Amino acid sequence: MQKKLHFFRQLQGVDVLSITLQENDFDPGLIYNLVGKDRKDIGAKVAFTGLVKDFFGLEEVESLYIEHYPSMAKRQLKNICQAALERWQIKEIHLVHRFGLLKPGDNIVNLVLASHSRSDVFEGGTFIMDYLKSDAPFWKKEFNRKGSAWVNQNSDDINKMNSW
Amino acid sequence: MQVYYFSWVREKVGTNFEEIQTNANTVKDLIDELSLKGENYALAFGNLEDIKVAVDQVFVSDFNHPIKNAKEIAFFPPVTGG
Repeated sequence: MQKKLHFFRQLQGVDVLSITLQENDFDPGLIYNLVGKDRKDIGAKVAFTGLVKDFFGLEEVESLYIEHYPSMAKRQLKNICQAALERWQIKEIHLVHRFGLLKPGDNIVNLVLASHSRSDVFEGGTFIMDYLKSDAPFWKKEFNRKGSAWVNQNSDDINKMNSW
Repeated sequence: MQVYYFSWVREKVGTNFEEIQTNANTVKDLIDELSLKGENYALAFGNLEDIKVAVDQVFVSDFNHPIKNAKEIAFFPPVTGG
C-alpha cells in the first residue's frame, strides 16, 4: 500500500517546494532531470540520496523499518525547507522521504535543490539534511538474523544541526 | 485528547494511539497520569531523558508545557530520520 502526501505550492522567493512521503521507491535520476527542466534561470543544481546500508547499529542488517508521524513529518519538513528558503536564494526544492520496510541498498531520502548559484544549493541542501536527520519525526529499526534494535540518535548529527 | 506513541514507546505501551479523558495541566501531569494506568506505561515512561514530546505536532522541550487546550500529544524517542 502506498501512502503519499504531496505538496506543490508557490512561495515567495521560491518557485517550487515539493515534499513527498511515500512507501514506494523513487528514481533519483528521473527526479534530478525534472528539476529546473526547461528553465533558463537555474545556474546550479545539487542532489543528495540517502540509502539503507547493511551496517549501522547492528551488523549484517537485513532490513530497516522506518516509522514516521505522518501529519507532523509533513509539517516539520515544510518548516525545515521554509527555514532554508529564508536563508538562501533557492528556486526549487524537491524532497522525498520513504517509510516502511526497506532493504540494504534501497533509497530512503532524496533531495534536489536548484538555484542561481552553487553556494545556495550546497549550503541549503546541507542545512535541510542536517535538520531532517535530527528534527523530523522519523525512527529507524534495524533487523538482522539475531534480532532487531531501534537506531539511537547520533550526537554528531545533533551537533551538525546545532552548528547552523 | 488524542495521544500517539511512536517507535519503542509505542512498543512498550502496546498501542500507537488512544483517545483519553484527562484533566492534566502539563505534559508531566499527563505522563504521571498515564504511568498509573499500567506497568506497560510505567515502563515506557521510566526514563524521561529518553522521551521526546510533541504537542499539537510541535516539539516541546519543557515537560511543564501546558496542554490544557491541546488536541494531540505524541510521545516518542529522539528521532532518527534521513
